[in-house]
Amino acid sequence: MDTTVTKINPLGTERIGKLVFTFAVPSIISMVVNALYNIVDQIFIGQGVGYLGNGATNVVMPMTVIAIALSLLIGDGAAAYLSLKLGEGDEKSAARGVGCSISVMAIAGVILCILFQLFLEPLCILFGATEDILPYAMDYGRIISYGILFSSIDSGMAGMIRADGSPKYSMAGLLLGCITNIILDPVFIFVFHWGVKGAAWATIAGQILNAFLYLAYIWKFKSIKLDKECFRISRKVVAKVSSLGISSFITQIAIVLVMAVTNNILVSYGAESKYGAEIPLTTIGITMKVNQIVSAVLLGLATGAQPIFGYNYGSGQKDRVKQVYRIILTVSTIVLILAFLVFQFAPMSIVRLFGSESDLYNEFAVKCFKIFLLACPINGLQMATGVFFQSIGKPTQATILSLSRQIVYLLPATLLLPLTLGVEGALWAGPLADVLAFITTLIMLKLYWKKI
Amino acid sequence: MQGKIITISRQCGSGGHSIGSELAQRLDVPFYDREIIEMTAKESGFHKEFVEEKGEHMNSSLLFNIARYASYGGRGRYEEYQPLQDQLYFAQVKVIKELAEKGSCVIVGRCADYVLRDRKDVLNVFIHADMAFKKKRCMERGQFSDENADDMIRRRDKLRAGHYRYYTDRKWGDSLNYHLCLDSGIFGIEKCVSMIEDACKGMGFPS
Repeated sequence: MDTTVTKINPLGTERIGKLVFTFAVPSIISMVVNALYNIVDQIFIGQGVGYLGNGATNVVMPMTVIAIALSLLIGDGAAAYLSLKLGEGDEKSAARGVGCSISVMAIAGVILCILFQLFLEPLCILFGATEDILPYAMDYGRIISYGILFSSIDSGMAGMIRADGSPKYSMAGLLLGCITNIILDPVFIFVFHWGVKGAAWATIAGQILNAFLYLAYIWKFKSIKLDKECFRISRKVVAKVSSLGISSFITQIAIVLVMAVTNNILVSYGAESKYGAEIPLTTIGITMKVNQIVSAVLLGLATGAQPIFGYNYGSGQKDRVKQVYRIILTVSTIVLILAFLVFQFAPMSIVRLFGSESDLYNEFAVKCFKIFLLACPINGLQMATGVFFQSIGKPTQATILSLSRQIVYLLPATLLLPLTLGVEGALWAGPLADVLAFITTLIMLKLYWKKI
Repeated sequence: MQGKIITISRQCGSGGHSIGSELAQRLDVPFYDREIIEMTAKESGFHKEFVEEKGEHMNSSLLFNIARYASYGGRGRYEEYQPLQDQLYFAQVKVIKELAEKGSCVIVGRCADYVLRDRKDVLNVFIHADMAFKKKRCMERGQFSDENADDMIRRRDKLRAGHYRYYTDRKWGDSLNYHLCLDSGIFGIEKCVSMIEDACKGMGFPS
């Protein structure tokens, strides 16, 4: 922890544009790589297996996210605990927090793996598997749940390693996993013809390598020394660590909720439409994942700017704070408008990446991009503002903004709109939630902007 | 001369500040209360008002707690960017440790009892009082108006307790954390000062 003080902090004096650039680029890269990880499987499965395979990954996705949520609860919590204790100069407690959290994460991984193996079929059905998709989902999910043993280490330890001052090491693990996956996917799917199983094996091969790299870091921690004692589980430490990680957990669980509801709605209303149950389930999954990449750019930009927001706010340079906010907002909106143009005018160029299918499939896929992402240009405001509130120490407002779109607007809209509009109603829920979130953000800004 | 440090933790309106400053005068040692705000501001580069607001108060409601680390999109990302309040706390810890290094002194609030827990030359005191006493003192100083004084005092204490719990993992005002707990409502400011002074002598201060 660097506590040496220089009277002149570049965050408070350097040109804003330059600052935003230097802080945001690494953050954008790491977010985008993370998002790409999710999409690679889909491209190869789409090309090699077909859309039923892709539907299967959508059904299994919520299970993966539950596992991520749990490891972030402990992992992000432990990273925060590490920083907190180091900042205060208490290395012993910091080491105990990290060791104890690694033990808890490993145990949680084993338990979750066993549970998923035991209840795989009911879980797949719960998350929207149809009769046609179920065999694929079972094949894919069976292997993916073995991977939880390792992926819990991956997502859990990444934060701790960054907090220890090795962001590059953390990034290397992520890249190693991602690249392994990209190389093995085509080998397993096209050369060995393993189908969705191949995609799953490629994924967990990447996760295993990543986990080994991270576990090796246990002996490399710079700021703390981990001995055997540290790995003992203390209930008090677990309680504190999870209280620090709770917000990461809740946001992930919100994602699971939205996915589970959307999957089921699309399956049941899709079955009544000419598209059938599987096409909507698959295409919306692809749409959301493509959109995730765009969001990753925006999030990377905004979270990268957090230190600039924070320092200038704390040191009372409100003008600079507002200037950063304006830059982020402008850049985000430009990125979103570009994405919007592609989604509206060349959606097939994206759809084809995930395999060409029947005309009906293409028709609905295009609708997904055109309708669900219709209002995406206005999303920049809500994201930039959320991170802005977060970094100037107004977390409550930030959370209201970030959860309102998903939980308060999107979820009910997804449930209600199909009642009158049928399966397409689920698509209209997207722009409706965006507009409502946009209005909420404007109201929040009106209430708090003057006080900043 | 062996140094002795007295930390005074206090409920809002209990007269902790007055007791501390009087005590410091009698012992002829430096007294630090609001001074720490200025030093922390200098140390961290933060604005004074910001330090004053966040230096020993923390909202510990459930929503706020959940929100604290909720970065957008779900990742805590604490390690990439620490919340301002934590940065501030670290600067404050450093200031308090440095002050203690300099020699005998009286420090009011700011988790000083916890920050200096590894030192053997510290006397930790907690001052509390009944609501009527606290209310009277606060109103005399024009801090709060009559009708909302009760609420304001309770709220202030709640924020202090939240701050203390978050950073120390201990309960604020728990007698086990202190060597001496005094009710200024019963003893009055003067008597409290002399009792603490006496306790110091018991520890061999200033020898």
